[in-house]
Amino acid sequence: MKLFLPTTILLSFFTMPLSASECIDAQSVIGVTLSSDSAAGQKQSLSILRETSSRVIYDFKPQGITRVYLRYSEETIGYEEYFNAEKIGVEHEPSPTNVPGGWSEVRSFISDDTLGSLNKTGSGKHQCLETSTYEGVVNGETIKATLIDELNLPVLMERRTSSGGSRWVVDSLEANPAHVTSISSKLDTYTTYDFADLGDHEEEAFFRNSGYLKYKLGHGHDGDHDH
Amino acid sequence: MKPSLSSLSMAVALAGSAVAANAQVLPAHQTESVWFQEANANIAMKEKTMNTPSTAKNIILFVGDGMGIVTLTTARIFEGQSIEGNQGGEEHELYFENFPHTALVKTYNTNSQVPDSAGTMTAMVSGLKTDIGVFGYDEDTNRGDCDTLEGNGVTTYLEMAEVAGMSTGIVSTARLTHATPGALYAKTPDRNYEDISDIRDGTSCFGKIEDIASQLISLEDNIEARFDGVNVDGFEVAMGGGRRHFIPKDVAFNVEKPVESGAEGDRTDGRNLPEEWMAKYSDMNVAYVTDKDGFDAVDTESTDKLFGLFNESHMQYEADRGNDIAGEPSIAEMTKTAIDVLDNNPNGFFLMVESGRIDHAHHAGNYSGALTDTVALATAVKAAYEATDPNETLILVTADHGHVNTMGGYVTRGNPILGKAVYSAGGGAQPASDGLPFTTVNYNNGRGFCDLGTETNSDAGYSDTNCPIAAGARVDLTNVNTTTAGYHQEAVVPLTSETHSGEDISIHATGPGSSFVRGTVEQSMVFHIMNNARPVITD
Repeated sequence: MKLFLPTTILLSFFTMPLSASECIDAQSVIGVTLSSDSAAGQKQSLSILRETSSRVIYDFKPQGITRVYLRYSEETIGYEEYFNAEKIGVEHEPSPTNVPGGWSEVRSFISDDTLGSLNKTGSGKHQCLETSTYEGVVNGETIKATLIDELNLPVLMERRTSSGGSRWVVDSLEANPAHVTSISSKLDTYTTYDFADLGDHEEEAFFRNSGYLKYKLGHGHDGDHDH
Repeated sequence: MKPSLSSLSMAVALAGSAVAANAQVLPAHQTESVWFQEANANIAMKEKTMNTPSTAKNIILFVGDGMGIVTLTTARIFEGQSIEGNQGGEEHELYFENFPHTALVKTYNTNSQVPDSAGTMTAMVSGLKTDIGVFGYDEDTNRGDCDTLEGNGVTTYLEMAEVAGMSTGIVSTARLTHATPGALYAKTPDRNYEDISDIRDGTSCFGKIEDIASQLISLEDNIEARFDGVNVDGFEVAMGGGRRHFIPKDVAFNVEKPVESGAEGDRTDGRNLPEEWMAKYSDMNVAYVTDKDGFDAVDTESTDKLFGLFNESHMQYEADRGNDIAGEPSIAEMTKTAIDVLDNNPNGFFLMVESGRIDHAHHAGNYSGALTDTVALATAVKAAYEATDPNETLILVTADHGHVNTMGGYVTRGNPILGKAVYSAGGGAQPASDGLPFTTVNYNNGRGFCDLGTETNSDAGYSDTNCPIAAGARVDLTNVNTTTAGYHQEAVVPLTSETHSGEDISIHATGPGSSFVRGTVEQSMVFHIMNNARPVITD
């Protein structure tokens, strides 16, 4: 199975969810920050921020990659990928192949189709919000997902195949719109390139010297990237 | 296997006398050979076209971006193999390949052995070579350096055609602000300055130059400012992609993109260039269209000026065109409509048509996409030829540069051009020395193998999700269908994106003045061939 986010293919180990006793108003929640441990023991962080109903930001740390997903339809999704160290963005044209699971996978980190194939195995609460846990095996992948019912937002996402897996656990729910604004403002200052034009940008060392390629290769292996 | 040469069969009769003469000394099985007769017929046809009129009324320049010689060969076979009753496909000709005049063209830029579209298009339309990444300026301008512009600007054939009272048109499947179309009407030290937001604070060009999109709209003013006493009227036709560079960064101006996804436009100066253009020519019958329905509704007889921006960025690959959200016309449809608008001018017209996405499909390592767009270009050339008088229209078909795509292996005749190499008819795939099958067509560099099945968007190959970098390592293709639209060929050297190549490309010509297309020439000759056929400058 082709995975939606290769940077999440991390060999992670056991991580305890953070204590989350403070109640929060579901209406104020715009996203979640998840964390995971890499095989090397380095903590990874992923913030999923719903800027609008059709614009969702994925902010990866410490990789320094920010992706902005744009909904054209449930299946057709475009995305912009930004490299924060280089202050460069690459725009990917809307296509049904960008996110095979469709827009629900972008919003919830798991597609509706996949979620529908899992069994509900439990329920609970996170910051006073009702959660449900789902488990099962889909296309050879063992999945355990806990989502906030009202928001369809993950607080736990565990996916394993015979070749590895990932385990993302909630760090915090995001309720501060300024966080989104600051990221968007920062990205606005970057130079962006259409992915179709990468071959015509020999003047940009990031592309000419295959820095972009090395970035990708680095992520593909272990999620880490050394600038 | 005997070739099928139906396209030339009628012409064979013309060569009858030559064959008869040869029959005196050559054996009948030689002179009666289809190959022999085809060649004689071809000689007879070339004799007939040796002395074509030298003065043209109209000029149409087709540019297949990245359409190198190997691309022509493989596209010819690709199209040929799609024709029922073909004899393998190798015998086929792309429509323009039977034009009477052909030359080889040296493509290097003044500072680069392997060129880009900016420098090469400047050579073609301004008559001199320049640096990579630069257009509208000569080689004394340094890329991105606005302190080196003074006195180094050059004028294009399109601009002089305007001065000469001709109608002018630009059609491209790429963004209209991209290097190839941009080099016709704009002057910039960096091809990346497509709109105002691209000219960053802190650079030498910030606040000093006009962005490329704006220069298209102000073509009339810019020419008149450059030449005293000249009165021109700007372009008559401009159609292509790149809408984002013409509209404000404000969701209120979105055409296709959902408002909630953000602004479609990139302009940070608030200017709405299509609106400005319509206002400027409000006393004329002008049409601004953004989708296929709008395009189809254009009345070419009554329309004075036509401006079409069919996509935020590049228009779709031909194979993927049916998936466009709002619908896009084909390159052949745009060509025909452009001619129908332009030929309303009795002074003639100059039209440039670019198939911009051949280049992009190659960059993505997707041979199928490149060949499909090459065939689409050939169809557009046919449409142009049929829509014009061959005695008054010079048609040139060329490329700006090649790519590192290859065709090799001792593959049997008629083997699918995108297939695995088969060395004997009816045999299995030929194993390489590593025991693995290989394909006839490959790339020297780029991202390498990826199997996306029926995916028709070549750029899907840039996804590290779907297509992790595979170049530099062989893949077992035994169970892979390499003839699908979504197959990306193996590559040797891993690079972010497959690159241009530096070998010569070809130019094919028909019509008045076409006989000057011969030999091996510098790319800057194209301008002079056009100006010789339809002079716009006399000095």
